[in-house]
Amino acid sequence: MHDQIEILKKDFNNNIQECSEIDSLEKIRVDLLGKKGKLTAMLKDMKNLSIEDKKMYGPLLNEVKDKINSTIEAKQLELKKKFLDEKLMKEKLDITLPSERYKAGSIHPITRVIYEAEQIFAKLGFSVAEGPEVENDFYNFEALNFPIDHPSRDMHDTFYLKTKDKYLLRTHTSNVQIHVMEKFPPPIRVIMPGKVFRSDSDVSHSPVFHQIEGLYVDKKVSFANLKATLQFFIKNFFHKDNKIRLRPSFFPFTEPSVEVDVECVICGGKGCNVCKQTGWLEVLGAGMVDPNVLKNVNISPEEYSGFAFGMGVERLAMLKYGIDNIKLYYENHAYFLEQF
Amino acid sequence: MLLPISWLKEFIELDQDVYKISEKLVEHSCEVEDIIDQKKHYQNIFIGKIDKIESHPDADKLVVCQVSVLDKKLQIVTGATNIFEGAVIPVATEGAVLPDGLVIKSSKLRGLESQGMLCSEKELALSEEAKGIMILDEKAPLSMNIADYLNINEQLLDISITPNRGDLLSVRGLAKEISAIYSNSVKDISANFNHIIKKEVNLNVLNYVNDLCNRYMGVVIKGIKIGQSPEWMQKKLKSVDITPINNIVDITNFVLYECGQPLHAFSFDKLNDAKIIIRRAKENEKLKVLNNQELILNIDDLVISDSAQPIALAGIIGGFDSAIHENTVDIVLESASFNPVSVRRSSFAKGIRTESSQRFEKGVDFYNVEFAFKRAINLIMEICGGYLASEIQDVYAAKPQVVQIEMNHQRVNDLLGTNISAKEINNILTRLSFVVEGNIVTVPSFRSAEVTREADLIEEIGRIYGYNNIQDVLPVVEYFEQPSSLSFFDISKKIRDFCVSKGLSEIISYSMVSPLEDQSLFDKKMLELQNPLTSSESVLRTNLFISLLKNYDYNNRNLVNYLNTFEVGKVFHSNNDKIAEELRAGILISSSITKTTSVKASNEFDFYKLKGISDELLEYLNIKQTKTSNNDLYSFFHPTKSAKISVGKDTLSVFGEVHPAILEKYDIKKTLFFLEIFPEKIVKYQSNKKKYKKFSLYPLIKRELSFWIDKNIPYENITKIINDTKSAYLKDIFLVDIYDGNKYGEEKINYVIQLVFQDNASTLDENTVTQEFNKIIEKINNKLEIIFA
Repeated sequence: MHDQIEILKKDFNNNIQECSEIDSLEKIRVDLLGKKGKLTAMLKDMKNLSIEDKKMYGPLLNEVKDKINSTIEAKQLELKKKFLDEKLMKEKLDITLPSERYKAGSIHPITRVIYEAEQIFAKLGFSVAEGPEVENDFYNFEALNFPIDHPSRDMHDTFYLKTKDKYLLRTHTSNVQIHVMEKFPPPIRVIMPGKVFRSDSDVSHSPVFHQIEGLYVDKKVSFANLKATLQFFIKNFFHKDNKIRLRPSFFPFTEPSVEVDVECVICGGKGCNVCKQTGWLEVLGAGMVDPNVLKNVNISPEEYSGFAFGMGVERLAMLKYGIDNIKLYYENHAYFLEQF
Repeated sequence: MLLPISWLKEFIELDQDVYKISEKLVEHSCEVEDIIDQKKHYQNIFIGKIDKIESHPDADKLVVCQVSVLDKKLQIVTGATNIFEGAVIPVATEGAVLPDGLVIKSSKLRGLESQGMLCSEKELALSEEAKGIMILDEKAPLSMNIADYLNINEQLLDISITPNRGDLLSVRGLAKEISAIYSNSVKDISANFNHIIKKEVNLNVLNYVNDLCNRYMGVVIKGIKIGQSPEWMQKKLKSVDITPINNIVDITNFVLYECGQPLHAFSFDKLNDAKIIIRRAKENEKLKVLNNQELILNIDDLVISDSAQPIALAGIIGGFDSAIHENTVDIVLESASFNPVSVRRSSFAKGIRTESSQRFEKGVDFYNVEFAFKRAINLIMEICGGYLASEIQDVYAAKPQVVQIEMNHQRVNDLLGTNISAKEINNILTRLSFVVEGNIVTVPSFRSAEVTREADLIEEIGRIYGYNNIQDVLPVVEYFEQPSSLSFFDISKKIRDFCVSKGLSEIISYSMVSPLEDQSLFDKKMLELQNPLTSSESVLRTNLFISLLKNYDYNNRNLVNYLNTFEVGKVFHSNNDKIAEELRAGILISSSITKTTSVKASNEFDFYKLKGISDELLEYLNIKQTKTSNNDLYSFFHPTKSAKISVGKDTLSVFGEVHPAILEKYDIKKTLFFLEIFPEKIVKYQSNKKKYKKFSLYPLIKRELSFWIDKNIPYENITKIINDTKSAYLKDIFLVDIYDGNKYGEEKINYVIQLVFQDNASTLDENTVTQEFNKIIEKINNKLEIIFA
């Protein structure tokens, strides 16, 4: 009996060592522990043994059985792992082949600039307002202190519509100033982005372009506030400490009126082709809201003052992204769009 | 407006060059468009003389010249053939940069040193053609700079003058402005007047329209001699791009440029009589004007006329017949002030804009009318001879009111955000010719049209003080209610976010499109532009399809056919003469939305995927309870593969396959899909409150239902019936299979629908589910004709 067990153990150990497949492992198990297995038979034979032998070989056989079971289990895990590893190794890829991309879309650079401006001005408490693109003379000109038949209208080449009442395509986003002030009493702090139109088209002008208008009306709003606000915007928009320079100008709806240059973001003010060697780039117009405009919307200029500004979005995008041709914005070529 | 610096310096003593003056003007006054320095390209080019010419030992076509210039002898090699010993010529010496950018330096030409270059007229940008080296007069002073010799040494500022500063449209006006900036004084010209008047003619000026002409001065001058104007005057006129004509015309132009007041001279012999009438033109009255154009006038035009006919379109252009001619001996000289609006309207209507009309449009100074008039008479007497043959006629209704403004120093500082002393404020205003007495500021007459309020004074103070000297003060951010209701900004942003997440690229298009492309596609009444730039951009788009399609077409023709795009923008139409303007968002899909850059084939896009985008987008925008129906909005869709989604009467979304006929027209080989959503309608139905709902983790029980039904019954009807049973445990309905076989005829279709049941509080038992399921089957069976499979 003892010898039998020893032989069985020895055989098992040999077989297990040689076994390299799940199938043959199963065969080993069945040979020993199956219904007709050798060990099963020996266990069955136990009943024929004497009590003494039973006491001696019973635990021994059970111990052998447990040992065999756990060895087979371990071997099974080992083999499974081995086979999985082998299988996975066979699935080797060329990881440098082109990817299968799910294209992300893109936001037009003009929209990008508007969104960025919105975020910057939001830090100063400005919200957003929008207004109509087809407008009448009152909102686009008259209420903004452009008298009828005044040379100030020459600065705006205007598209008119063939309608019974004289409608036009707004020439600036300043019309929204009037809509906002008509509906809301001061204090008012808004930016007004949008599409505008001028009947002018050449290499540097597009008949359609975008502006971001700003308006702040409250008690004691000053020119110093305007300057600081614009400087804040420029600094945050270009992420540089570019200086700004204000020049006297004329807009009928602001008094005083200024044009604002920013130190060339390309050359840093040294002079280059983009700034035409001047070191400065014109980016926006601004000023203190003209008392006539406030009167036109029933806000007392004695009590309130305000500032307004308007900036060219295409210009800002050009400087931010280095876009060198205004046509690119409206051609919407795939190769252009995909860069944003 | 061109300002020659030498002319300016006749008015003010200024030790500043053109660049510094420009800087100051830009900082305090007006925009300088260009700085013209004529001499810039002629540095180091001097007059020299060829002493000796020898042939080049190693080159047949070259000669070697010995040239005297600047007390030096230079050896210069040239290929020119028109030179000779003793010739006086322009020599570009070391360091010169020619107008075309060529830098001159000593170099070797075929082995021989050449220390400069002899220049042709072309090389000096004096003519288009090169006819060999420029040969100068033999008496030309040696070693003189060529620009000085040729009198091309002016420095000019090209100044852009804003509409409110008509007073700057003259050399004298700019001189006053610049002197105020520099706190300098002006050496003004005098219009002292001391001429003997011979009353030979009784000049009769009749002003019938006081509102259109508030001053008219006229005089007859006899015995003048027409000829060329003096060289100094011609030089000045040429420097500001005015072509000299004859002494009388030149004097009127000169005074206009010098003083800013337009003048006109009529040839007295061409007038019917000595009557000058200022009146409105009669309907269809004709006037041939100086540019040879025959104008047909109307009642809105203001004319100067003699007793018989018009002789000038007032303030804009003189008549042809009464123009100064070479035999003119007697003239009538006019200086007047015409109504800006009237001049502007006529000038626009006739399409004639002149130096004169531009100044009248901006308004001229009442007192300058007289100043310039006298200045011109003085110059005529001096240059053309002659004598005053009539009394000076000076017709005006009333002198203009003096403008006085009350100014509060504190308010000035409050608005500018500064702390400028009263003394400095007063000093600034005084420099600008304002008179300050206490808190009353008197505006000089030449500014009285546009400086009328305290705000205008504040601008004057601010700009002379220097805007850049004002310290920044950020406004304090305090919370107040904001007018967000005026904006679709937020929903636009959400739509863009969604589109980008689906791989779409945003485009921005012109709002103007071609009526041809539009008409074939839309039925809404389009808004037409009165003055389009081109016929292909002459109406406003009524929806976004044309914009996106045209963009696809553009890219497709540039061999990019995979683009999926979107646009968020306004569309327009007219509705009983009312303007309808609406924000829309459009999506155009040409390739599978899950298209990748991989070489592997991607899934084909189709109607249901498009519908999925619409559903997802509306859900993303918090829209629930929609209805699907046939597209009845746009004819550019495939007649059956298109639909719209609505809530109540409002369409929220419309989408479909693009009609093949349109694709064919644009030669597009792919199937395109278009979707348009209506944000302004969507915001009406948005349920903005997101709220957490408890969800159940108890097991889901699924039952399948398979039946045949008439194809023409919309699937939506079936789900509606199922939903209407309001089964408490029904969680979801899935269509798991469609079979379009012929088992029950062509008109029947087989659906396999999976119903999912779940309870929120416990595990459902089979019996309950069976009961619910049977209830639903019964409802369907009652309401629809179906055959269970």
